[in-house]
Amino acid sequence: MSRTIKLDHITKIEGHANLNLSIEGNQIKKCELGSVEGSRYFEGMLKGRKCYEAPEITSRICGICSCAHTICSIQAVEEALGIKPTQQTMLLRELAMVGERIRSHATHLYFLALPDYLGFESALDMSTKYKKEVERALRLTKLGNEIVTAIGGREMHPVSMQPGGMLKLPTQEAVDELRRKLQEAQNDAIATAKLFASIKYPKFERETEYFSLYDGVNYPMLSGELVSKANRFKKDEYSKYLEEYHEPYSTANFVVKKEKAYMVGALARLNNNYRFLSKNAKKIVTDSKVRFPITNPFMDNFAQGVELVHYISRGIEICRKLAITEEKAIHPGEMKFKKARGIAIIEVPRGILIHDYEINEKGDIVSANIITPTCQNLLNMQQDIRAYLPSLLKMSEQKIILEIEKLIRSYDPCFSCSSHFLKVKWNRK
Amino acid sequence: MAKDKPVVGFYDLTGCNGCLLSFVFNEDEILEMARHFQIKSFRLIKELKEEKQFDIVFMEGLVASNMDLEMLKAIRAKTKTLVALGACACTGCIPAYRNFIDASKYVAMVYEKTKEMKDTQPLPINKHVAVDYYIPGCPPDKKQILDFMKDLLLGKKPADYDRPVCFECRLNENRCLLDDGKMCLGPITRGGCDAVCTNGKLECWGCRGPMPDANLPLISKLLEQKGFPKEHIKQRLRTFAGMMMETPPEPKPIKIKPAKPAKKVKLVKKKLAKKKLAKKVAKTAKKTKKAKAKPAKKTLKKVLKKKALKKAKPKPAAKKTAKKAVKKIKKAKKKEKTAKKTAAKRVQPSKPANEPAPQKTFKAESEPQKKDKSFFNMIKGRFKR
Repeated sequence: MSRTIKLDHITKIEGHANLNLSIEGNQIKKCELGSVEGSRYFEGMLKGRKCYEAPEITSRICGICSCAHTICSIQAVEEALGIKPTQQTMLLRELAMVGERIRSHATHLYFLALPDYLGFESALDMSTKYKKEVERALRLTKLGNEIVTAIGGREMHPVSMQPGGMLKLPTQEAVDELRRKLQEAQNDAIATAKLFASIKYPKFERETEYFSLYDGVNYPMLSGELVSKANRFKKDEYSKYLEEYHEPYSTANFVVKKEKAYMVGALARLNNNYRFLSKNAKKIVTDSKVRFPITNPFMDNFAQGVELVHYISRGIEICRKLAITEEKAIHPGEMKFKKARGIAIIEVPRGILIHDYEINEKGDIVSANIITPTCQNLLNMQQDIRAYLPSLLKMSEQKIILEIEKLIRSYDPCFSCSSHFLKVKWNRK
Repeated sequence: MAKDKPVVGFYDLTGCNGCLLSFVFNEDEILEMARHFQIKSFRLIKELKEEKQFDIVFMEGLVASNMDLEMLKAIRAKTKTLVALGACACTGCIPAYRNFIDASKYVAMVYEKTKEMKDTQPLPINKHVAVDYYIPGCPPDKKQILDFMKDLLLGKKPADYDRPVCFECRLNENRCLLDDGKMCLGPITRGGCDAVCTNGKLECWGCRGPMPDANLPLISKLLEQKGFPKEHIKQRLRTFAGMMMETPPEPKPIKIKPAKPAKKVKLVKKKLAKKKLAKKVAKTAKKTKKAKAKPAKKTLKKVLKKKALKKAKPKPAAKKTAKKAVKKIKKAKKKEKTAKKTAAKRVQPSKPANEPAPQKTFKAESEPQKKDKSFFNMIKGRFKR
């Protein structure tokens, strides 16, 4: 028996993607997962623009992680121009990232992933039976948004951040208020992590290479080296290891490391950096039966729950450290430009984000390269589907689709970033 | 669920999903709001269901591929009130800035895709279909989306905010950023955003598009006097709402990279091939620059075919490749129809071709196409390439 499964516009993910499967007997002949979002050519549009304009433009790559793109872009420009931001600025950036991480993880866990496991179509439909959970999700999202707004000026596409520093600083009162709210949210985060620890995930193990940043001091966020179990290299060497290639069925590139797939994201971060977790996040793990490293991609949901607890603690820590002192951002007119290359690699909700710019003496961008996490996960997702599918073949079509969608969603893919997700067509022969 | 509740759909074309998230980020109100509507389609957070008819559809994103266009048309045909949500849908936003840049800047990134995914000229949705309402902004203010939905529920006609950003900025007692030597577009940009950027000390980039009575030549002059280079001012004006101010030049043909079915093992080879291709592309780009008006010599696959068919102009540089071109044209005859369609659209963007007359429950307040024209006339001299 041979059949084709075609999922067009996969739902409950950011952006559009399609999946094409063709199965003959027990053999999978074709497995093509790719983005079908229209190409926007951001890297091309950056050419000829002033380097300090890049953060504003690249933040439009993605709505859910616009802070991440903004900050990564800022750091790449700073690297090229040799600007060293103050510690206060770095802390504020990290706090904004923490805010964004909280809302991104909460949105993904409750709105995109949880309905699958509870058997609902959407979180909006869950609101009658699981009112507590939905309200918790909304509280966490709100907290994340409040943090980003307090620092960046608005929920999305932050306005107050610029190469060299903050255009507008939050007041100390605002920071203290955030700390109070973060402390209040701790129970919500722990309840979320416990909920996602209690879920029965499909039994599926497939080891791959897990890449994340690693800085040896903290749970990684804005700096560090690229690390996996077997490899370690500096950020400037990324182009030596990582390669991009196209497939006609996907508008997103595929990124591989020396011709091999690898995984980035919450699971990879935890596999490499477990020891830097906050105490209460570690407690969630020790209380569960799970031990890291984990090789089950479905457990990415659990990892995000653990991270949620960690990031709230980290947020509180940052708020404690922050004593806002007046500082001025560098006016674009005063920036000194030189011919240089700037590479920034940071950890964003879905994994590693790379911004790489070349700048000329006038401060114009000559070339730009941006690698998003979903591009890096794409091939690994495909291989996981290939490996997971044989165990599903006896199920009904509907169930197979649900299981595959679960698998894809557990990666928390963002196809807006990588360039869009799943509708299914069955063809039985 | 009562049947008299309006059937609503949230859709997204090419974009960043930020506008839809803006709606979701109304954490305190979203559950209450969901009770007053039948939210039938919301791919971001729900399974997709084919609905026969929608009362209201919020459309995020712009049209950048054939797939987008098909989806937009299909939805327009079954929707009473189509709302363009966010800057991409309203003005084309940053993705439409590509219309104003030289193709050589991104040609290395272009490669062959499947038929549905094929790139089209990036355009805001009103260039293809009739739009009933616009909620501008990148991102649109989340409260503004709620207010809009409330107005519709109450049977009120949602109104555009008709004051520039400067008005709200002054009310918020901000220091003028133009005085600080920042290239602020607040004076000409439609407000309603509570001047959120300038509150955060970032100059206005004009994401909500210009006011209908904006004096574009004057703002350019003002900024020039402040010492900003002309080219830079032009880039800024074009970044978010360029499509509202001027008609971009006809898109040039692009050499498309052949898509080889990539096998991981052959990656290294592929990379080399890519480099070679990139060099070739760079060379031809240089040549075309030298030859200025001459189109790229080696007639390039489908894009050019379309163009050649459309215009039916003899190309001076195509002598050598004339025979090839003829062959290609023959091959492309099947595609002729679609090409003509797109051509028709481009020539008459204001008339949504083949569009079933949209049933309007609410009358569209603004007529953007007319505005476009007047803007174009106003700015014509200044923006001559």
